[in-house]
Amino acid sequence: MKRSKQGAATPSPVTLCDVKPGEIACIALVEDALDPVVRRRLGALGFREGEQVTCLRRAPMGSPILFRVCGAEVCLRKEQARSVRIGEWSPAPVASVS
Amino acid sequence: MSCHGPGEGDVATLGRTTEVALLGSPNTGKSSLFNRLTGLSAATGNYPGVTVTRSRGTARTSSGSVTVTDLPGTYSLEPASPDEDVVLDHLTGRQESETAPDALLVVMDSTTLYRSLALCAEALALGRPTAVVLTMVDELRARGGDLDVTGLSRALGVPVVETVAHRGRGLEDVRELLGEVASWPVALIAPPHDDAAQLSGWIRSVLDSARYRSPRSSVATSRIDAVLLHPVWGALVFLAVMFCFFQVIFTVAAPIQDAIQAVFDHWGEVAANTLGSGFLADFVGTALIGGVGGVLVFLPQILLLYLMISVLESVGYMSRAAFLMDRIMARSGLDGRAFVAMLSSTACAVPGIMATRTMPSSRDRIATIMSAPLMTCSARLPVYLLLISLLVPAEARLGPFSMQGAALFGMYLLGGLASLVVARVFKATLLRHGALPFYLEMPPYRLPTPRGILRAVWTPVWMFLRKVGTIILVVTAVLWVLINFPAREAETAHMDEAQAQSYVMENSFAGAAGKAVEPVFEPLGFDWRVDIGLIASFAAREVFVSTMGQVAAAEDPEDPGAALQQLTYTHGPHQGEPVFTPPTIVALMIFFAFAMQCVSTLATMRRETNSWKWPAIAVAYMFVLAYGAAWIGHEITAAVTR
Ligand SMILES: Nc1nc2c(ncn2[C@@H]2O[C@H](COP(=O)(O)OP(=O)(O)OP(=O)(O)O)[C@@H](O)[C@H]2O)c(=O)[nH]1
Ligand SMILES: [Mg+2]
Repeated sequence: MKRSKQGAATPSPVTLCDVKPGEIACIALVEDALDPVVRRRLGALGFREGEQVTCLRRAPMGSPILFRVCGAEVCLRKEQARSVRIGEWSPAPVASVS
Repeated sequence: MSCHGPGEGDVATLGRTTEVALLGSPNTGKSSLFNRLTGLSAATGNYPGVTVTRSRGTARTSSGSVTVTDLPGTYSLEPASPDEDVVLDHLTGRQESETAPDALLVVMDSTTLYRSLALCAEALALGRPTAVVLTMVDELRARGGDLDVTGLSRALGVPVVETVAHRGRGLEDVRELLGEVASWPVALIAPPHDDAAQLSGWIRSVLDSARYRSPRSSVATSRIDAVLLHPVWGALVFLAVMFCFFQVIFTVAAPIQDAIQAVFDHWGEVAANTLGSGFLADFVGTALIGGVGGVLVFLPQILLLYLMISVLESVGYMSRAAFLMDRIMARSGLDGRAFVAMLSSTACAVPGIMATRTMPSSRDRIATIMSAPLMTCSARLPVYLLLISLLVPAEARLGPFSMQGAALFGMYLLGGLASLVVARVFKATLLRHGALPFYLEMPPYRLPTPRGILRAVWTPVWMFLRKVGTIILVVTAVLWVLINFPAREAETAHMDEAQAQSYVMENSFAGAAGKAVEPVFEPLGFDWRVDIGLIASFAAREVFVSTMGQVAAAEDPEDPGAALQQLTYTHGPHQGEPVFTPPTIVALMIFFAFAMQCVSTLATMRRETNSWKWPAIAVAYMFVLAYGAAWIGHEITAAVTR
């Protein structure tokens, strides 16, 4: 799951890219370094801090990845999914967002 | 309206009707609602990004009428792609030809209310008179969700009505709402829409007051997706569906085509009997029936093609195709949306090019625009069908499948592969860099409504009929004149009719033009008569079919069907040998696959890229590609069939 091995002090952040189909995660942070237009667009699609995201499936060859977020199904490429960091992360499916 | 002065919430109507804009996320049912309100037929489909331009119409309301504008869908008021620019331009009245709307009708999909409310917050913050229409309430309730409209209305501070937009349920409420547009409120306190946490908090509180229960995810959709998005089955099903479709084109459409042909043959006889001989009879027999009729007989195939595309689109398959193809498209530097634009180009390159407006990256957009015209559009279909019927005998089978259908499938594959390669080349050279994010919403599968399908098929079919009745008719008539004049009565006085016709054609204006370019196309095996058709096809590709119909009818008025096959070179080293040999036919098909012969496509390219540079590049590269590939095809086929 961890991509970088250098320096135990900075483990590589866990992102939406690491969530497996069927798992649910909570968004902790959308990368600040991201282009502001892209960042706000991800927000408008529902990828905002604090929202719950379910990974539904991956396309052949791992990308794009289909998520359910804010009640809609949206797919992102791996590159974008990687810029969304997640916090709590439950491998077991939970009932849908209220 | 006259009892109080103009205030915040009042809409001034100074000699014009009130302008209301439909604002909402993609695929929420704006165009469906627009069609119901105005009686117009804007395109709808179960894919986010069907509408890419604005369209206006008049809606009758409980008190007079208002002007309604259908806009492209947008996820936020901060545009990320050209279709979203259209929305913002309209809302701000930035374009000089437009006036900003007086009021906003926010359309929200009730099954994704949690997400839609973010855009609603932005809309309310604009401080314009606003009202809300909820769509898809049928799906919301069917999937166990619920909400209280009055609660929602109270929380938002604006009127809310619920509808089933595509079926017109709740439409009277919308009309009533539009009738009271003058008293729509303006949000007193703008909802928070900048800070993520505040926005989420506001949305939750609104949903709480609306006692919103979110729907379960659709079971049918996830079951179907388990197959259609499966890494192996998904791709196989897709290819199988496409292959079967081209079989259907020959097995189902061909008999209908024969029936239409029989009608034309009958009219031909009637015309010959009543008009006798002479110029009028010849015009009716060769130009109208042989030429224009020869194009019209392909109506069933064109209808089927549009039927298939509209079914795929309204069921919700397009997003899935984009999802499956994204990785493959990435190899040519594009994304899944580009695949949908290319798939739409199999109907016509113009809507295909327009569909690229949903792509955020302008480089990807241009690369897609440059390669989309290589996809096999419906104007090429009659040409391919004619040439394939000359090349492949109708009885030929490939296992249980018709060989003709397989050949047609091959031509579509050729167009698709060529456009991928070309996009790759453009992305690697002129259009490097620039990877904007790829995101795409996956709507649930929906049953198409007969009305929607009918509309989606009828519009292009009607355009085809109009094209046949206008440009194809005119060009065919002009060609008939050019082929039959000068009349050369003195020279042909002693010849029999068929000989005389050939002589006139060979020495006609068109004959002279054909012979002038003959040396250019000689390596491809085209003779001067094919060249006449080729030149004429630059007006519209189908004109090639009508020209060949005229040539055949002139060569052998008794049996024009067989005449093409028996056409022989009139001079040169191959004199007396047949023209339509496999190498020539293959070269012709490849030439038509790659050449840029469509003025509307060029005009659309110019408009969408805002410069003549790209259309000019397209004409040049496509001609080189067409000529080169046709020559290679000619040589290979000649080597194989020798
Ligand atoms: N079940 C259901 N389906 C609907 C309803 N309204 C629209 N649809 C369907 O939803 C799909 C999208 O409708 P459109 O009218 O094209 O949506 P749009 O908002 O114009 O979409 P874009 O132009 O892509 O932004 C179509 O397949 C419609 O038939 C509704 O109230 N209930
Ligand atoms: Mg629309």
